[in-house]
Amino acid sequence: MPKPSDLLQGTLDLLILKTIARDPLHGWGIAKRIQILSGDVLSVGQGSLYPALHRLEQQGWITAEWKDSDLGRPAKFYVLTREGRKQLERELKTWERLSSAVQLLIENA
Amino acid sequence: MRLVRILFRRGYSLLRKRRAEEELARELEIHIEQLEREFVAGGMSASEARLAARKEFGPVEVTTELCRDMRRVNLLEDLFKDLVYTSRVLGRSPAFTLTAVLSLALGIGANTVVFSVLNALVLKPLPIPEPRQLVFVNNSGQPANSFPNYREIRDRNQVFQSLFAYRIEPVSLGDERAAHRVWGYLATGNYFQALGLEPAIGRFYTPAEDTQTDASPYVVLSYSCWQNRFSGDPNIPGKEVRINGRPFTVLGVGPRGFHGTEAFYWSEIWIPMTMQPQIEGHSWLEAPSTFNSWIAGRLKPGISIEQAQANLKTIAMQLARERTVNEGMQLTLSAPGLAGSAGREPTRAFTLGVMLLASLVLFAACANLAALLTARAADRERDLAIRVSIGAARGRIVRQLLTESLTISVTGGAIGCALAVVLCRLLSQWRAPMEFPIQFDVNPDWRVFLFAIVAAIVTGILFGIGPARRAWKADPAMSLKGLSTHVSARSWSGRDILLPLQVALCCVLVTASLVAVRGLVRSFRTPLGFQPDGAAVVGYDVGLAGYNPRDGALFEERALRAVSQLPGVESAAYSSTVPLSIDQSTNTVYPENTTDFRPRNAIRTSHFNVSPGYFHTAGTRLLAGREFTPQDDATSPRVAVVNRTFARRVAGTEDAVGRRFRLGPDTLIQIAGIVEDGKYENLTEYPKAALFLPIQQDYSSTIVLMVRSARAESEMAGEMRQALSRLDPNLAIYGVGALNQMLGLVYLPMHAAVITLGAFGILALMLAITGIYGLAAYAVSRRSREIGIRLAIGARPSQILRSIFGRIGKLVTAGAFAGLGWGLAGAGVMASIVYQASSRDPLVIGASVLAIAAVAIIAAFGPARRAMRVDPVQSLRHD
Repeated sequence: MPKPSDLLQGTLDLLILKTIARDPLHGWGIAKRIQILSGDVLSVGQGSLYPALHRLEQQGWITAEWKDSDLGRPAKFYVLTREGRKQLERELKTWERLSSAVQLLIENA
Repeated sequence: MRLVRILFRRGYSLLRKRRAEEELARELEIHIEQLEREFVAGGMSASEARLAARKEFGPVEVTTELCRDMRRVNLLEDLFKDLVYTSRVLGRSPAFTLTAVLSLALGIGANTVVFSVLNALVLKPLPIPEPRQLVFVNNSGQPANSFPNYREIRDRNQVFQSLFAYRIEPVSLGDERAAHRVWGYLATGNYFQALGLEPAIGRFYTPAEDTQTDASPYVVLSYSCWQNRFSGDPNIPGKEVRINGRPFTVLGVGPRGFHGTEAFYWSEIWIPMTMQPQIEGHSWLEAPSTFNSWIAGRLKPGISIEQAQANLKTIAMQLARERTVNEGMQLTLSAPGLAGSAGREPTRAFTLGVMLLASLVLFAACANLAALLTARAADRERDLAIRVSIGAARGRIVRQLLTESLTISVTGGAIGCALAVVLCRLLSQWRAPMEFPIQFDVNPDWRVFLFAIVAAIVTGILFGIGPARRAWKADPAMSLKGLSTHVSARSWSGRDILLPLQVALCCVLVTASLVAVRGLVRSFRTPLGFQPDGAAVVGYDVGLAGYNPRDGALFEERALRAVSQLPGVESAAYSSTVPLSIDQSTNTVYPENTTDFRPRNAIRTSHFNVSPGYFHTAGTRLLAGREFTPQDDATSPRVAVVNRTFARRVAGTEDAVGRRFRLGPDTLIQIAGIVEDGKYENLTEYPKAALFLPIQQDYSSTIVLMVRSARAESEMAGEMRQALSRLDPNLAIYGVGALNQMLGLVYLPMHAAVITLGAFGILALMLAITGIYGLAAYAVSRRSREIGIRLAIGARPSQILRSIFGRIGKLVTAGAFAGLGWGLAGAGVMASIVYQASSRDPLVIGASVLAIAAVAIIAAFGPARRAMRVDPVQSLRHD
């Protein structure tokens, strides 16, 4: 199995925000879902996931609460705030602009 | 909303730290647990799975630390930790902390007080709307102009919205029972409009109410006058008061905090300018050569000072052409509040000079603390090196050191500020010991506090930056071995400049204060031209009590007889005023043969009207001729007594008895006597001409009654006052006391200078002691290893001493010489403030050198003892 590619700098926030956009998730769940949804291409190291979660929480994009979980004990679930949703939209736009630019370059160069 | 959440999160992380930490640990634990389960599901044994999960997760501590960092409260947390650590470090060496905080408190306190005074006198604008538009019109550097000139300038200018004239005027304010002398202004009708003021109650008089001579008996009271003298009577508008014995109607009360257009003079009452003839008994409103009006005005919006000056220049030229008395007149603008530029410039120069000295003291304190901190940092070098080598970021250590210096400076600043507030309160409440209402409102405002805060922070950074820089550059490996980067005692570093600089500053301040103190001592011995000791005086103004010249003259005779009969009186006399009091008049005279009476041929002279026996009573020596006698009255030929300078200038010889001079084109006066020169307006003046005329020939309604006796002056003056009250209970009497007290104003700047300089000198000496001590202690502690080796191989203590103190001695000597040079140069400036302060005074130079030497020896004594007691074995085993 090829090693999942390293995440492009700055896209981790986008991935996290997008992943928890539908329903709240705990850290483990977020890591797993990113891996599954990306078809095992993307993997988020624990070393960067948790600091990122805490940073987003400090910035007010996401908030967290302890709830019973599927893991057999209460876990810390992260959920988007209203501002977080706006931030997600902004990040999506930025990402689209960036990726289409990269696409354009690859096609035309 | 987001901001609230962020703040909440940060607060949570900071305050519920333990809880946040637990949650974080739990969160990561869950993750590891899940990994473990996955591995078990993949077929590993439980113990294998646990290991693999740990491995997969990576270093938990690092992740935890990263998460903590993300919580972004580190800055605050670190600050808190730094503060706790700082308080522990400072608490461990209370002597150092106390020295540092105290010297800064004194330094910052002194600066804050001086800045308060500067702020009150020079920076703070008058309490009126748009104060910047208000400007004062100077007449060739002097505040006063003639009233006809005022009218011309008012009507011809194109730059003023309104231009008003005013004059400081003492009046007697009476009610049914008694009269009091109060100080106020005569002011033109547009005064209040131009200032843009609203009355507290009632109304102000208007320009329409200031057009007819003696037709507007109205007054406006100041807020404090209304509160203090009329107990804030709400029905005061419309009430009648007696001004100089005549009825006037109170129109209204000025706004709270408004004391008129001079910063130091608190006016209680305003009277329309057209009432001047009635108030003063003679009119100068139409006199082109009587310069009694001060002029100020509000500029039109958008008019710059330069435009206004240009306009005034044209007008001044016109006026100079039209009236010979205006010859050479220059109209210039300055900020109002200190008698125009005449008072403003010296006040500004003086306060800025003192400010400079004060900042030098603070600077010396900084240099001193920097030296002390460097010395301490040397002791802590190993400690810091250990911290660096186990992974502390240098930035953190620098921050820690700066936190320490800022803690010291802010604490010092706070104490200094508190001291300054107390001192300023006292100063604001203090009334100069004279009857003129001089009052300084130096209570600190926001500018002062801003200044103190900035001063504290800047000093903290200034004296903290050096040690912090050293800590930044230090090599931990070397430090741990006990070898710092600058181990050589021979190399001179930038730090070495601190001590000479400080000694130099100290020297400047000590020299300056010694010069000032010597000057003060001498000025007390300076011949004043009269003997104030033993003379008691009482001042009053019969004009204010409604006497005409004939009744006034009769009253003086009765008053003189009454006080002459008091027990203990050796002699008694009266005069229009006494030399060196605030009330001085000048006159212009011409030599006898003058035909051209233009100002350039006039000779200015101080002018006094005195009674027979005045010179004997005042203690003025008569050099030739005779004193006035009762026979020199209105029916006899006019005579004068003049001083030597007058005789030399006007008659061309000191042997001038019998010669004549002109008091105007038509008045010839014969010189009957010559008296010694004296001081008339201030103590630092050059010899001035003085003219004394017999008061029976030249009436004055203001009187200073003087007696000489062997009894205590204040007791004597009290009895004189009672005697006068028996003669006329309605007379407003002022200035009761020793003649010395009347001289308060001329001594005021000098006393202020001596007190400030003395305080700064002592402060500087204290700072020098701590500074030299710090450096010496530092040198000894740096070189204890070397000293140990040298002692071990047989060096004599004297050799050690020489090697340690040779260097400090050189630094101190260099600093002392530089400082002495500056100090002597600066003493020239001092000489203009403090009378007879001479820079070429061997006593001053000797005392300064002695003081510095003594300070250096005292300061170096402790460290020297330490150096002698270095135990070779101990110091070598040190590492």
